Amino acid sequence: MILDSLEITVPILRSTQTLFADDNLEEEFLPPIELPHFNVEFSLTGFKKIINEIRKRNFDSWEWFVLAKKADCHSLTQNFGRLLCLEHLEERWKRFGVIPYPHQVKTVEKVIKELKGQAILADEVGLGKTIEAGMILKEYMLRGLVNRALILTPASLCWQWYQELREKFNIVSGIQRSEWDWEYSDILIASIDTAKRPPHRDIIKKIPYDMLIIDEAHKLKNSKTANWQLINQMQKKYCLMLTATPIQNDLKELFNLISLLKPGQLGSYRSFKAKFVADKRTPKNPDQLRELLSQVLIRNRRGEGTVEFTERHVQPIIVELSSEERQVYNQISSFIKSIGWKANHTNILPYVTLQREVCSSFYAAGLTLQKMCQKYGENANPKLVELLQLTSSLRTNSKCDVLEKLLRRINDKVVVFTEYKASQEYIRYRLERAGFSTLGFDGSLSRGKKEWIKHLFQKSGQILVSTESGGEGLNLQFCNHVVNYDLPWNPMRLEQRIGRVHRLGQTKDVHIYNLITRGTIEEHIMYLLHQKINMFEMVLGELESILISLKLDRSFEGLLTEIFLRNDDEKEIQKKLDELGERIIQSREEIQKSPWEQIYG
Amino acid sequence: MDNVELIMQFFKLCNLEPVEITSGVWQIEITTDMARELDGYGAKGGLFQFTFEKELAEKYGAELISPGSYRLDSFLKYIRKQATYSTACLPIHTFYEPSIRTKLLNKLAATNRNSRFYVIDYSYKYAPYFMLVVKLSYLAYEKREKIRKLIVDMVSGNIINYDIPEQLFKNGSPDTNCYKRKLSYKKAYERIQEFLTNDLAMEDPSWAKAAKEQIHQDRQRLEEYYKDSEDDIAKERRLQELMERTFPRVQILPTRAATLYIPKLEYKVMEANQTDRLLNIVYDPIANRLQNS
Repeated sequence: MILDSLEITVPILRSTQTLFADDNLEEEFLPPIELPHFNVEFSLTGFKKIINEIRKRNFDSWEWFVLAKKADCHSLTQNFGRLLCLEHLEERWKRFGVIPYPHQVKTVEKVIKELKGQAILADEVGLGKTIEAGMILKEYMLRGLVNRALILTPASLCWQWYQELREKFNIVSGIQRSEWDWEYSDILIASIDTAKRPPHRDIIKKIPYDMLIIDEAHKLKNSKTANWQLINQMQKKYCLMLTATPIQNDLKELFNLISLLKPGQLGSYRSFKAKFVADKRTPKNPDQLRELLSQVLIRNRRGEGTVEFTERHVQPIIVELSSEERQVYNQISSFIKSIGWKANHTNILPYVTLQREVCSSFYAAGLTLQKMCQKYGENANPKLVELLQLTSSLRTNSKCDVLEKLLRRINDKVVVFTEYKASQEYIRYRLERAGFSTLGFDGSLSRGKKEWIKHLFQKSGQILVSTESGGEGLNLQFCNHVVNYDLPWNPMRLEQRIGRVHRLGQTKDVHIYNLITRGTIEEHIMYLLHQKINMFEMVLGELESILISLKLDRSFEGLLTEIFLRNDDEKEIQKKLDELGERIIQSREEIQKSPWEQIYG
Repeated sequence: MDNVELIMQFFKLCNLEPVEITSGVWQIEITTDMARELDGYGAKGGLFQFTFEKELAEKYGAELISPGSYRLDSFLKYIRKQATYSTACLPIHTFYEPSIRTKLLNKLAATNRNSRFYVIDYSYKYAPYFMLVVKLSYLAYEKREKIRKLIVDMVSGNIINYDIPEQLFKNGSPDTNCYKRKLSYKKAYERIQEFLTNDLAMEDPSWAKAAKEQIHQDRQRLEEYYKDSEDDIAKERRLQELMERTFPRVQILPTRAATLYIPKLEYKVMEANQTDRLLNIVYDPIANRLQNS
């Protein structure tokens, strides 16, 4: 404000950026001096740095010297009396809506103070194992105990880890792309499947890591696998293993996992077997085993003073298509079925997209048809042209009519999700025309704009129409109504949509409205997710662990695409979906009926 | 020095003057260069509002500078990069010469009651001292740090084992009138090493004993695990890892240094006895020590 009038001359200060190079130098020590109880090591690097300054006659003023010395005193690391990361991240967490829960803070304290940075974080799904691991990493970094860390995770979670570390912990990390990255990134996120393969494996073994974090660590249950061998041979000072299911089938899995972390904690395998294994699924001496496990494993469960989520109320809303719309839908679907599966793999994608778009909105499907016609020009399939004409002749949109009525009924802040940008634009056009005030949110917006729109929505907005890519990393706990205008074919994406609203910090029950067009693929998806596997009632994160344990040979989306496009008969589709649903239910039951809870403590 | 004083002093040394826009909330315009130093390359300069109180930070949305906060850490990081080496001088007028003279004469008279002493002349010369600030990291299963400063007389090579208040010193070095340094910096560092090692040997070693006990247990655990195994390489690697990670040690890292110039007073004293004698006495006001030159 008044500062314009001030003449400011800033003295030339030393840049922290240019000095980073010096900091990264390996500290060189003189040979240790042995005292009766400990060694004393004098640094040569620090002294050399000072001598260089004297030689260069780089004399700083005495005032700066005194101030810098005071700053040295302020930055000292003390014993782990209190967690530094809580205060350090307080402001950032406020900005991103992160609330560290008491069970998480307790876990971090226990790992650092008692388990000395070596632990299996085995919280039940949805209790925030990643947050705990991030806090532990940050705490060690703030104390100068970790400079180099490696996070090994399934490939699909690399990006998620990157974002979590950046947003929630202000930790700048890299995602491993080439073999050079191993040595040049201080904090690196990598796929465990890449890491175990040569030449990566041999490079990793040579690097001394201060901290190793392994997500989905149940993949290390078998000591004969390349994954296990790799982790066993790695040099690591601190190690965190994250898994909700430390044992799935056999007590040996537990022994293998713990031996990676702290070999000998359970003795040799022979003594472990004799002491603790009645048969492979029944533990002997559970109290003693529990005691040993509590020195390396922490498991928080729901309802033990951990996290209480509000309820979800799901409401499928059936939309009846008009006869014109039905005709267009049927024609497009049968065209795709006739053409789509016959096309080779590179060409199938536009047809799959078209099939999914036609479930979302005819406007989105129309735009894709137009692009396809333009691409092929005069050689375009006449059926495509005909379909385009049919689609553009439509003057009604039953789904949007229902949406308008629904929004009037809710009369509160609502987030409407759609998969496609074209659908988003159309929805906004229709709602604005009907007198609603809307805000649009999509992946093309810059971070600043996203923040601004979120702020507007929180303060005065009524309806936010968002695409999925736009919704990533968005926290909208202040709103408790979600409308799924269309249904993604991947239930994880549906879970992520709901997760924007139904997350830690939500104080009200969440209402989810699914718009389902009768007699379309959407109805099948809804049948599978809602009626068959009851996905909406699952606890946060449960679905993810089920899908991982299912070990599908392709993506869930890919599986559904095959079912829908390969089968003409509705009954056949229903049968296939039932089979898939059964597999999911069975997997869920297996996870829930874990006989191991008694030994986790 | 608390955080408030530290940050305000920082701005003062940068020739920046924060404006208190409301009670307890300050505002300042920081340059892009400084913003980059604090927040990384992407940061831009501009108005920066800060406070030292949590309630005010919440009320006005100003950045909170408090122990452990991100903002205090970023400032500390920046400040600590400055002033690796400095020079300072303890001005002669810090001392009241007449009282030193009286003290000197009294001391001489006490040692030789048969003589009388007269100060014929006096002068002063600055002696160079090397002050090294070191960070001591006590490492075992945990880590604890402390800062120590050590001062070596660069003429005599003695370590000064008492604190001289830093505020008495003035920036810079005297142009002339200085003793020549007789000790190399390397030698000075060796003296410090010797002194600190002796000092550490006298400290309470209970932390190291506890760590060694824990190591013993962990070693036993590893021996048990590898009892049936023939993989000696893996066992050795694990044992080595354990020792590297947890063996108790104190690492000493020099962080910054300064050459201090402290005056020594030189007196020409006449000893009046049966035979008169001229004495050249050097008085070290810091050590409170008389020395025949």
